[in-house]
Amino acid sequence: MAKDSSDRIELLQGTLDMLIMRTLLYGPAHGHQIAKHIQRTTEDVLQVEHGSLYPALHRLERKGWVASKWEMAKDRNREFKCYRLTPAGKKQLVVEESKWTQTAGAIARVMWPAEEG
Amino acid sequence: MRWWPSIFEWRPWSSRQHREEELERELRSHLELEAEEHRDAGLPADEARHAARRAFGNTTLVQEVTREMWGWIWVERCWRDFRYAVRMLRKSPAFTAAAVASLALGIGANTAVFSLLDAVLLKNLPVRDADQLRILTWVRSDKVPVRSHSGYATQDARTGQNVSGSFSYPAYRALAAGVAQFSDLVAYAPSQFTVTAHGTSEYANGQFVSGNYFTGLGVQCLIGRPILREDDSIGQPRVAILTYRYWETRFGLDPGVIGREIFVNQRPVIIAGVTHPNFQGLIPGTAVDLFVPLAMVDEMGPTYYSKTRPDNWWVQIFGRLNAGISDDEAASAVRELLAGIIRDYAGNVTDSAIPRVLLAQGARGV
Repeated sequence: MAKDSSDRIELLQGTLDMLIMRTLLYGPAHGHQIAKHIQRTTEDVLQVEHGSLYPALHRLERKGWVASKWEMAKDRNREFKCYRLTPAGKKQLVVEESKWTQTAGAIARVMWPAEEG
Repeated sequence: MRWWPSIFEWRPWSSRQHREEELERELRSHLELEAEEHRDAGLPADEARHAARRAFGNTTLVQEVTREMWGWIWVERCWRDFRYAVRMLRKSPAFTAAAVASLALGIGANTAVFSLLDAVLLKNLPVRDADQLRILTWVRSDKVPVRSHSGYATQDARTGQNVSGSFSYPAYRALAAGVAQFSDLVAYAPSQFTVTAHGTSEYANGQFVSGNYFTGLGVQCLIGRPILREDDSIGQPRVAILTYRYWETRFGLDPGVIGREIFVNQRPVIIAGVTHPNFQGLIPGTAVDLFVPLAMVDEMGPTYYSKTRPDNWWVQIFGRLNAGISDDEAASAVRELLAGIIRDYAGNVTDSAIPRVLLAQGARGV
């Protein structure tokens, strides 16, 4: 299951929003699915704390980048609050992604100057 | 897919209490799901729940942080907007001054305009049975044999035709004597006066009024007496009635003004009375200073205010319609009499030279 806490990496500030939105690009999901997806994809390196996941989701909703709706899951007799990406959120995702690419690129150039072409 | 039937069902940012409940529901559903997963992995129900709780962390804390975020975003946004506004305003003091001045002027002007509109449009004249009052007007036409006519020239409220509100003095006398549809026809004509009192002379807005003006309208005086019918004839002692406003500004509310002599256009006149503060004549929004009898027009009025020329139309008339008389009936009676007067001085003119008479509601003044 979860990795040892020493292997986990703290999320950089602001990246959680981007990861959530990227996850929702596949389709609507509820909080648990989002957290699980991020964990699975990063092979448990990035552990999404609920204490940051829900505030982030609500913040994104407030900004209009995601929208939510209560849905009845098919296989389970239970309701989930599902989130989906809004058109504004899709645009924001592009913005954040390019910002992230710039940041990562800048860091890479400092860390490994020889690799620069 | 059946997942998202309608985009409109997506809830916008909802009320605070609603959000609280939703968050709790959301976290609970998550927790249950987590526990279920642990159960599926083979843990007993009790332990599964505990494991879920452990994995989830402190729900109260999550709620707290989320709630904090709600509040924080709201406050932070307002504060940021406010600071931005202040910064921008400070950056351009000229613009700020202009904006503040426009607002001040705008608010002030609106208040002033409303006070005027209230007086002009909304309030009835402070007279007896104001609803009975009619303003006599005639539809303007080049064919009417009139040398000059003064008074307001406006559009009739009902028909939109251009009308004039002035008549000749002989016509007024004839109408006042001969139209039984009105209990009173009162006349007035505005004029600028030079009033000399305690050694200084000043311009004042005056009105010549008929002898039945105050009694016909039912306007009482605050002190002294109004102009009466007997004042409105040549040879009588000259009298004037002050408005409260003029009494206040020019005479400092001195009750001793009654019986005092002042000079109006260099003629000695006795102050006979002061009107109530709310009565400012029949034209709301204009400040009348004093009233004098029409009889004095020869001595102190402009030359075209002639009492004898039938083709100088300058007298404005208000009528008090008798009960049960329709406006049309009264208007045609006025026109009939007017036709006789016009034919008397202009010869046997065609019907088109006799103006159509319209009665306008007079309750709110001109």
